[in-house]
Amino acid sequence: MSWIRLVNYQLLQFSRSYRYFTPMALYLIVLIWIYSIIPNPVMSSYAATAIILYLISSWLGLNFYFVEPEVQQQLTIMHARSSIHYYWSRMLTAWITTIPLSLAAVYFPMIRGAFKRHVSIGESLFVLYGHLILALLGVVLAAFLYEWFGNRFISTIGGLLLLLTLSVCSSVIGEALPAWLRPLAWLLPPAGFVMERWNTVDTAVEGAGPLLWSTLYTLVAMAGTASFMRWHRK
Amino acid sequence: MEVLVSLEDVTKRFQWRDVLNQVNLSIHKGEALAIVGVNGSGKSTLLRLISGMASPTSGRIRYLGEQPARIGYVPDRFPKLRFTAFEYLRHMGLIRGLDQQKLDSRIRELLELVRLTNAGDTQIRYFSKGMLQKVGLIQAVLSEPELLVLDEPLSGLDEHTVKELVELLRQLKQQGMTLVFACHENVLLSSLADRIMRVKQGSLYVDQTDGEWSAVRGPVLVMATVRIHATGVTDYLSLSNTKGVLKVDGSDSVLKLIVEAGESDAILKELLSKGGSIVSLTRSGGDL
Repeated sequence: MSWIRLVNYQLLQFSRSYRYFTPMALYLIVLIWIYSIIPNPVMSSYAATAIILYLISSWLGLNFYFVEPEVQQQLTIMHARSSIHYYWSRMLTAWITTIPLSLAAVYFPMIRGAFKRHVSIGESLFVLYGHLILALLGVVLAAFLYEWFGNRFISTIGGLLLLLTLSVCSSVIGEALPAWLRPLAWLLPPAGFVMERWNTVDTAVEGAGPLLWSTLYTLVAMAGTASFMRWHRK
Repeated sequence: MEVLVSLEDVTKRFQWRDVLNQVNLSIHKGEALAIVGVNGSGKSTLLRLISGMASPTSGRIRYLGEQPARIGYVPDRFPKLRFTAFEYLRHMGLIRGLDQQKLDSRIRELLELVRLTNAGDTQIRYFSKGMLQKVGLIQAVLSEPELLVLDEPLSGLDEHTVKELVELLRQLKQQGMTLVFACHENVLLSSLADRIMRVKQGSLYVDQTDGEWSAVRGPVLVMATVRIHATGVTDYLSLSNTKGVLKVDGSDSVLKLIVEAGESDAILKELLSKGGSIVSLTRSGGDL
C-alpha cells in the first residue's frame, strides 16, 4: 500500500507542476508529423517512435525528478521509512507518466490506418512492450544523472544528452572501436541496438533479441540506480 | 534516565573533511537537548545523523526505544509545495501507513492547535515563513514520534510565531516527547532546553553522560585565556579531569580553557592559586 501511496503522491505533485506538458506535447506533435504521410513501413516507423520516446522519457523523467524539493524528498523518505522504496517509486512514477505516450505511439498509427500492412493485436502488444522498456530506460538514466549531479541542472542536462547520444549511436561506436575494445559498447544503454534491429526487420518477433537485452539492462540499471541513490544520500 | 538514542564514536566525513569527529552522545527519553554552534559547524549534519537521514562514515548510532524508531524531523526551511496543508499532511500520513480516518482527525486537531485551520485549503506555496514552519512541525508529529528532531525551528520567524511555536514545543515535551533541536535563539534555550551541547570544529562539548544532564541548563560556557609559567604546562593540563572543565589547550605560556559557567569561579581560583594570570574571559551565552 505504501508503494501505491508514494506513487499517488508523486503523480499528483508532478501533475500540478505542469512540467510534463512540453515533452508530452512535443512527442504527440512528432507522432502526428511522422504519420501525416500514409502509408508507412511498420517496424521502422515503430523504431523511430521508440527511440524518440526514449529521448522524450529521459527529459520527462528529469523534469519529474526536479519537481520535489530536496528537503521534501528527505521528509518523504522519513515517512516512507525506506529510502529504497522511495527511490524505486520515483523511477516507477516517472515511468508511469510515459505510459500514455507509449500507447499513443503504438495505437495512434493503427487507428489512423497509417501502415502499409495490418498489425495484429499480438504484434502491437510486443511493440508496446518495446516502447515501454525504452521509456523506462530513459527515466532510469535521467534518475541516475539527477542523482550524480544533484541540483546542477545544466550539468545534468549535459550529462544526459551525452549519454543519450552515445546510447543511440552505440553500434556505430562499437564498430569504430578496435576489436578488443568492442565489448565495451555493450555497457552503453542498448536503445540504439533496438532501433537498428527494428529498422531491419519486417515483423516484431524478429526484433525480440535486443529487446530482451534492453529489459535485462534496464532492470539492472534500475536496481543499481536505486542503490546508488541510497549510498549517495547517506 | 533511560537512553533513547546513543551515538558512539560517530564520524561523518564529506569530501575528505571530517564534519563530525568521533562524537559520543546519549539522548535521554523525555529530555530537550539543544545543539548550538556557528553556521557550518556541523549541527545540521548531527541532526541528520540522529534522525537517521544520514549514516555515519564510522561509528555507530543505536536507537534503544521502540523499533523501528518513531522519529519526526522538522527542516529549517520547509519547501513551498503545490499541495494544500491538509492534502500534504494526508499524503505524508498515508505514506507513513496511518489509518485514514484517524489521520484526518489528527490533522484537523493539529491544524487547529497551530491556528492554521483557515489556511488548510490554501496551497502551501502561498504560505508565510511562520505558516510553513508550522506545517513542517505538524508533518513531523503526525505519528506522535518518540523523538522529534528540529533544525533551527524558529529561524526567521516573527516574535508572535516564535511564542506560539515555543509553547507548542513545550506542550510536546510535557507529553513526554524527546526533543533535539539546533537553534540560536535564547528564548528556546532558556525556556525549553534541559541540556545544551555545542558543536565546534567537529567535536561536541558538554556531554553529561553521568546522569546529571538535567542540572545543566542555559547558555553556560566560559572561555578563558590564562598566561602561565612555561614550566608548569603539565600541571595545568591535568585540569582537564576537573569537574566543569570541557577543554584545555596549552602551549608554551598560554592556556585556553572552555569551562561550564557554574564551575568557572572555582576553576579560575585554582588557576590563580597556581600562579596563572587571566588574560581574557568570554561568556559564550550571548552568541548561542
